[in-house]
Amino acid sequence: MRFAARWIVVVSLAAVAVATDVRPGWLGFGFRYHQGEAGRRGGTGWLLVEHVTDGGPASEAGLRVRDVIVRIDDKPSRFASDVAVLEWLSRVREGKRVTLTVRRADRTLRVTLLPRRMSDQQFLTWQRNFDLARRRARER
Amino acid sequence: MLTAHLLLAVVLAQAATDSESLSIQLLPPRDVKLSAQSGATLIVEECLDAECRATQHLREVPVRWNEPLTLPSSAAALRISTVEGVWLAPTIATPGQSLILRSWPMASVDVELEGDRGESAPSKVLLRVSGEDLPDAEVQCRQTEGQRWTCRVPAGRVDLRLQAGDFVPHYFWGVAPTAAAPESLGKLRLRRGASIIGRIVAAERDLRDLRVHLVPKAGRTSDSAEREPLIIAPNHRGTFQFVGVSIGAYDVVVTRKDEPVTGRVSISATEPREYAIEPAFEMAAQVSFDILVSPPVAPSGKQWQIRLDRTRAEPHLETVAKGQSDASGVWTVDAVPEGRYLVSVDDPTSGIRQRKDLELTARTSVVHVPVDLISVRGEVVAGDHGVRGTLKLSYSDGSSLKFTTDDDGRFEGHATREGTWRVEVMPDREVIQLLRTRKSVEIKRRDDGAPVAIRIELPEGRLHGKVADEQGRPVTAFVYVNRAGRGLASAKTAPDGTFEIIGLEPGPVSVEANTRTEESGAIEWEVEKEGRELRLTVASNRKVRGSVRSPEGAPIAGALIRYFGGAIGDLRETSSNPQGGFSLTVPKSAGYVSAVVLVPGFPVRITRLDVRSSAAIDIILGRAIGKLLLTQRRVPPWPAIRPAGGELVPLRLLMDPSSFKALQFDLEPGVYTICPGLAVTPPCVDREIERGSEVTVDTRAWFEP
Repeated sequence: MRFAARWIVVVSLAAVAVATDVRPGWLGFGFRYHQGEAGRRGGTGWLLVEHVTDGGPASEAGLRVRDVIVRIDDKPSRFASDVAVLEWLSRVREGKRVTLTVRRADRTLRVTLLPRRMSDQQFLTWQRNFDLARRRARER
Repeated sequence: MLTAHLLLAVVLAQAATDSESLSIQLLPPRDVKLSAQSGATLIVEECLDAECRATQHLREVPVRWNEPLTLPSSAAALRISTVEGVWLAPTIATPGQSLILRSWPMASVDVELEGDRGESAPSKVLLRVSGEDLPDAEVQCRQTEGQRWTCRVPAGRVDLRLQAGDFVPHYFWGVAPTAAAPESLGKLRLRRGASIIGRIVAAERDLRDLRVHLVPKAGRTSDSAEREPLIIAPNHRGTFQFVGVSIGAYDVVVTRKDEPVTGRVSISATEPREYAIEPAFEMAAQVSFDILVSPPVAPSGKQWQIRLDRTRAEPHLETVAKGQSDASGVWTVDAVPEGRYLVSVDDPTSGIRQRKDLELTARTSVVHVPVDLISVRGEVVAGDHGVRGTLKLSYSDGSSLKFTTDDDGRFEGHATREGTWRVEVMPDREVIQLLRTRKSVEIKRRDDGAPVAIRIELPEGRLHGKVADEQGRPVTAFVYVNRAGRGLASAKTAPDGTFEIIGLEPGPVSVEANTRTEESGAIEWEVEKEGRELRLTVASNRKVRGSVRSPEGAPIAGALIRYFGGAIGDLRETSSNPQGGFSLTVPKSAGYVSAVVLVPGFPVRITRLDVRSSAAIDIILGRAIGKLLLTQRRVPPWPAIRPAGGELVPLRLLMDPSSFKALQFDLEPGVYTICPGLAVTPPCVDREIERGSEVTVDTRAWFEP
């Protein structure tokens, strides 16, 4: 079996401000960002949920694999790149709710996540993923 | 007259109660000097009600060991305890009872209490006492001076639960007060709020490294400062207590070295009181044992590589330990939990692998893994010529052997079991080639111990050619050869674009070449003994757009579309966007592609898409669902399925990655053919799946070794 090469942003989702080493809130899902028309005026992208950690904030809020996230905190996802998504997520904080507008098959719903504290291991994983995403972005 | 009779009956009954008595026999303490005394002094209090919430008329009654004592009483109940060096679990008895009571040497514990955040300490302190051979008892402690309290307890090892007013109960485990002097419990800071206690059932040594996590559920605790998990270690008895717990919902998880080792228990603290987790967490015992491999070293002269995998649930294996045996073939495994395991013994050089299922119990000390070595010798030939390269033999349990063949195609080595082995050959040529033959060899040990002779004759068909781009420039590409949907061989071209694949059965095949960005598409070709040169031209892929919609026309977001780019085996996948749109990447020359469309809540669509033009593809899903249930192990090989008039696709494509657990599939109503492979030949079965129905197909017999 051969899959097309692709970049998968599988962060045990958290958001981190790597520059300041501030630990972000842990959301508990992995995604792949599709830029779509986000590069054009008025265009938007979307996040395809690819993994939801059992017992994590996303799981408890009812987010499911293959949900399509179209708005975050009621703002359209107009991120220019994977790195831009990660940078936005780096500003998410533990205890500060994040509301996602989600397209699930033919329905639209809102899901509110309560970020939790990220463990040391999760923080390390996040930092590695963030570094990798930025390196890949530079290589392109 | 009737009234007078009733009155008389009540008076007689009262008289009968007055005359009732309690019989007590007191047993002396075991193995202590007190038993040399003649007896003890009981404190007897008359209770005002049957539960003995209040008492009156306290009296001291001497009693001799083992001699029955009769206590006449008209009280509702009697509360019995002792003074002077003998401890008795405070007992409430009703007249008419006959009791045998055991006594213990009297000891006492002292504790200094301090209220939480400057609060005054309580006016009443109760101590619950428990221990081996000891009835659970609750004693009231006495304030001595300031906030110091003393409580009478039996001498010996006991567990204590101190309840001071409505503060959180505090536990003291394994306290050992003696009759000689009061045991100090130190200073205790009392806390308010809820508390959670629990117990882990395990051997004491298995409790090492365990941690208990109290994890708040998101958004469901009252105190924002306490959303972090609390982590504590259980004591030597496996007991643990979280104190000062905020009102809210929690998960309790037991881990060892950050790995969960038991299930997760949910508990809700709704008011400031003690919550007990029942039943206790059951921990598997830790077992240390030796794995003994014979022969002690592999035929290559190297030590065995050994791996221990835990088989919690098929098909998941969790590697818990790996290492290599010593010169005597022994590998020691330290402290793994009881349970089911798979031991794998490998020699990477020869590919020898022996596997053994293992039920590990606390009694396991040595596990013997004999590696059955059967000497083999043989040759691989194609026509009149030997094939130099690597021969790989694979068994149905996943084990495989590797042999190096010389210029004449000869090889020798060892097989690990008798039976039928599948053959793959990787000829040593200028280009890398993997040839999956349909051949198999039967290995049966010879009675005389001589090597088993194996001769592998490859067909004489040869496929050779060149791969170039649209400008005619040679490219390095991978070439795939398929027949009837099954991969036969693959090769990587040389830098000049040429390739040669030997050992193919003459006949029709499908051939394609791919680079990272370009494809040739599938080309039908005839393999012959000395055939023509095959020219493959790779070109950039093209995009075909489409959309997925519901029967009502609503766009479906997040639909997973799996499809074959070229020949079967070249699986790709994509997802629909928020507007239901998707795009497929197909070879420039592609005509049709087989695809499946997966959307939770909708039936799976198995379809053949026309991609000859750039016209958009519209996929409209249905609503009606029938279920297909597959009875087989959750491991490959998987059968294939096709709807009436469609193409066979591997059933694994229908598995939703988010719900892989069940081998059941939501399908559109209709007639489906289910086959062991990608060919409609016996024993394929046809099944009609109606709306709302469940159809079961048992495929186990198809794949039995």
